[in-house]
Amino acid sequence: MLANLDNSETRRAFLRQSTGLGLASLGLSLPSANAQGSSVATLFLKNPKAKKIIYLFVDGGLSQIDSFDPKPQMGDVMMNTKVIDTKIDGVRYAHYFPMLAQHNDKYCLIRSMSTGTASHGTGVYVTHRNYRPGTANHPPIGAWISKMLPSLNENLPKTVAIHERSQGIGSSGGFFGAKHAATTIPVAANGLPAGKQLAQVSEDRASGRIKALKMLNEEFHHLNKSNFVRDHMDVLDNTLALLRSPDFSAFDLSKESDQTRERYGDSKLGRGLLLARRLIENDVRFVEVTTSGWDHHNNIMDEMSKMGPMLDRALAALITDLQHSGLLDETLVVLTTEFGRQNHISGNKGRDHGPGGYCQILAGGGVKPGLVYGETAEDAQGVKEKKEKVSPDDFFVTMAYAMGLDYNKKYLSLDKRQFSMNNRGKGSPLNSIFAAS
Amino acid sequence: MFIHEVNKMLGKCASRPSKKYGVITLIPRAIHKFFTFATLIGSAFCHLSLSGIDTFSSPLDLKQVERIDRLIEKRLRTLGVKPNPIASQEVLLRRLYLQIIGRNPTVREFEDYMGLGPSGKSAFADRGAEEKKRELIDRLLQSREYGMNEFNFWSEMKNEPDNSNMKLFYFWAWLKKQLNDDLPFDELVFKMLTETGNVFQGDGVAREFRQNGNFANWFADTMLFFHGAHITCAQCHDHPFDSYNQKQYYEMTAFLRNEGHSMENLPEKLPINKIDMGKIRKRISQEKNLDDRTAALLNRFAFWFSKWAQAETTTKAGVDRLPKDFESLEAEGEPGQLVKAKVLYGKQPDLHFPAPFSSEGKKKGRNSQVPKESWSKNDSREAFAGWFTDKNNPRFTLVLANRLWKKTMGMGLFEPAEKIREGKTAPSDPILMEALIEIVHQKQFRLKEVYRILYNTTLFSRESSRGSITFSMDMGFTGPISRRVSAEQMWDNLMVLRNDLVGQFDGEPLPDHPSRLHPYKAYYEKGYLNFNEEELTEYILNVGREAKKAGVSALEYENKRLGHGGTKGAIPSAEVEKKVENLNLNGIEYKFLRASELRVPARIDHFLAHFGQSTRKELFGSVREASSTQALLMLNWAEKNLFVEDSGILFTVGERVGDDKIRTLFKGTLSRLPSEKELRFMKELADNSGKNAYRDILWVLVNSNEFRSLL
Repeated sequence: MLANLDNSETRRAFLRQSTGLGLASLGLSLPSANAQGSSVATLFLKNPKAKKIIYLFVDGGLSQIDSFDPKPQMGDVMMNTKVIDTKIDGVRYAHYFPMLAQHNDKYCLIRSMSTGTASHGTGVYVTHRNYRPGTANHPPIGAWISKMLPSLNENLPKTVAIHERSQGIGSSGGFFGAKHAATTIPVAANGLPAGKQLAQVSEDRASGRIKALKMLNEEFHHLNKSNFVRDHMDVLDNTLALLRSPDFSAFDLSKESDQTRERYGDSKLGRGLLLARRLIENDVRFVEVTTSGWDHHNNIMDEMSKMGPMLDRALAALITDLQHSGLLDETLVVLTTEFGRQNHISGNKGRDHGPGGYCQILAGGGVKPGLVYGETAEDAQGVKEKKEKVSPDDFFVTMAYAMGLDYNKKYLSLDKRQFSMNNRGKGSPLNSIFAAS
Repeated sequence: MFIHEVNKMLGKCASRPSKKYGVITLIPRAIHKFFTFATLIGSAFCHLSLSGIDTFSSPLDLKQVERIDRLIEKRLRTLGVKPNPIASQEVLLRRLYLQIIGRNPTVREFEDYMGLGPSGKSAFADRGAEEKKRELIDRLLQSREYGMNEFNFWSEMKNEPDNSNMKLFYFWAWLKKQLNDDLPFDELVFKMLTETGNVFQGDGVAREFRQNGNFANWFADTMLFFHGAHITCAQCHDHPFDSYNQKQYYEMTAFLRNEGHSMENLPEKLPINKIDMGKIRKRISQEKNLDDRTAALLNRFAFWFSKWAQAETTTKAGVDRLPKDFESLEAEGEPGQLVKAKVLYGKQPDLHFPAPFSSEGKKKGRNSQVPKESWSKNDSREAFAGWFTDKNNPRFTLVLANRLWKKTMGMGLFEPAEKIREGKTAPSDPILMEALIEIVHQKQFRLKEVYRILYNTTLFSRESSRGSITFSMDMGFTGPISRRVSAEQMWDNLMVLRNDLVGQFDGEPLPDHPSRLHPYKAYYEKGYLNFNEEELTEYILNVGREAKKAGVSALEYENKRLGHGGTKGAIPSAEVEKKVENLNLNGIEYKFLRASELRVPARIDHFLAHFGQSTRKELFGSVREASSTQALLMLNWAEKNLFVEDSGILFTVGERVGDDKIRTLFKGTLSRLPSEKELRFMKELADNSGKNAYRDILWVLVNSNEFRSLL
């Protein structure tokens, strides 16, 4: 029971904890009990700007040489991929991404990511949770944010996962529990599945039901004053408020004009990112959007010419929209993938997994726009400068850094071991990519 | 002859199973009537889950029941605390159902027990309250549903690192059976630690539980789950909280060090493992009239059977190597040095090492082999398992007894029950703890016998303790502790409301549900694992050719032929079709079966996951907290999908008249009758809702906090 309290979140529950149980159960101020005694100082950004994150996960392994780091000097290996100029002098992209090329003065491109694993399972796990799969259910980035930061809009969930494919690797609450799990949206166009049907009951019936329910719950609470009963009553109140709130329409894509939807593209990803934008506009803290089908062992040219422009269009539209509305300042938009791909052709005109060096994008949230960080090696295999290599640890704490989170703060897992966002203090944020002020 | 057989099988593929699903949901009244009738004449559906079952061979051990109650009362007297009053019959009825078989009683079961049925007749008629209760406990413990409920609890032992559910299915099925058969718990664990064989045998479950590819995780989970021993920290450094050092960790793992892991050492090596797959692969590439993807079919045989389907051989080493980065401050030792197996507590198991034993091999990496000359002469894994499950082991019975107590009463005699901290963990009532350990021993680790005693105590039949209850050393048990029902109980309670056919609900599991049966099982059963090279080649080529003719991939063709939909979809047999209805929720195939019969763990966006079912990614991962997603599911999804007009409890309501309709809904959801005030409110709601009256009342009841509480 003590363990469970650690995860409670309603105000009343919070008060109970703070008065009754002391700080240890909240995961605060724990003495360093780690035998290795490694306590790492957290770097804090003076003026962290990011309040929210859109995390675009390209599931399968986006090829760096067919996207944001082409290597024309490698000749035949490039197959049909051509090279185009971008807004920034000397920076060139593969031709599937003309729009992102035109807008790369608005975001930061990292060309020196490296996960060091060629397994999808481990790669997806590490990029979401910064640990390797093991004996704890490590919380994914969204759950850490949900745990560490208060809600910006009580009417909506704190974290949402759209089109997730990985069975909760991104949307689970980890050892923080179901409370910190993301609300999952399997099909963006359908909105929140469990929320939809309320409208089908007339106002009269709905209020009659709720009146009877409240009576029943009050009677029961009279009989049973257990904490869990109170918690359930609070959650019910909050949920009813959500259903009645105008914010609920944040989940409804039909509120967007045809023109806007057209700009994001008639694709699952386009709709996903459009929904992400609506949710961010309504102060959801963290939205993950997954685009899957990028594991191009075969026919990578055909696949890229279909999927590249789809990604290009949707992400460019998102970044542009957020910039126009001014939300890009307080929203960190991330594009990442579990690894890149090899520098040669294999299988049936495809490329195999290449974890050595690949690309990702960071936009907004205080990150310097128009910056290209790091370089992959000439042969696109690995990272050119070792000191510029970005590990999943670095990437993970960089997101925390942008939001002003103490990524070394320790929390207890269910079996009472200590974990922080920063896996054993290994990561350090890419502070040089943040604007100075 | 062999080829002939294959062709015959291939021929069978012509008739395609129908893809039509579902019957149960939209059962019209007439069919309902039929079921009622069928029950009356005693055919088709077996009546209730509780009839026709074995009873216990021995009478209830009243001496032990009274012993526990005496100890509890003595403790409360010392503390100056009064026990709670005895709970009402209906509260106890619902509690027993939920605790023992994991669901609410149906309307019929409720009426039957309470003597409130329309006929007034009861299977429990003419019996005193105490006698009735005893009989109910026995019946519930012997019902097949006991295994479903216990399974939900014990299957948390599995830490599943990936989402591959295929082989686990066999382990789960085996586990349910052992729980229902009441295999002594020490034996159950011993089997899981030592059995070898093929996972498809059904008993060769050992491998599944053993490692699933990651020894360190498996070892950590095993020690923690059954012994409450948290030793995993010592893998990399001396334990920060407890007194174990890093060397001791490797002395423990030495029992299980897997020198026999390589294929060469497998004693039961299958013929198929000896085949040179490269040769067949070459043959496939030369052949013209095959489907392009025929090689993928070969991979099944090459990959799965050689690596996964086999259980490991028994280890005999009993020796391990200290790791390269050995850094213990407390123990002497050098990286790469050999250490003999040694346990951390309890009696050392006998191992017979050659004398003199050389710890030679310093500076070697951990993965380098342990020389055979250093191995123990007897089987170190069995020695370990014997020590691990020994009745005198200081941890095994202690942890088990405390867990059974916690499951029954809501809190352990020591907490956290999951983890024992040396010098810190102590039971709040040591005499009671000792008594429980004695009872487990006396009942020879038969859980049903132990539960039977616990459920029959006066303590268990008291009103529950409510409010802010936390563990302390000076606590006493005034009654079982009220808590939210588990995710599985919540789901199963909804299944009762939805699928109950006038009181007959036992959540019958599906026979051989094909989506969970893997083609490999078919291969095993058909004896394909005994193929020699020539036979396998011929078989693969045949399927490849036929697939090409049919214009589908070799795997697809094969799956259809075997009656499987692959790992994703499934083609149900006619029998299954009758029992399953598919609901397309969130694009994932879901079914309205008991939680234990669904995919375990459920998919991440399933109702069960939202209500806190363990993800099985870590031990003790189930939670019972409120969340807004749960509320949304109950407010909207559940109503739309679970309350089908004229079916389940709404059908039963249709059979009743007047206020009895509302009472029926209360019986089926809260196992009680409404108070006057409640009846008034519900009637008012009914008047306003018109034709939706009973649907609306049902909505209110399942959304109530009482519905999700264990009182």
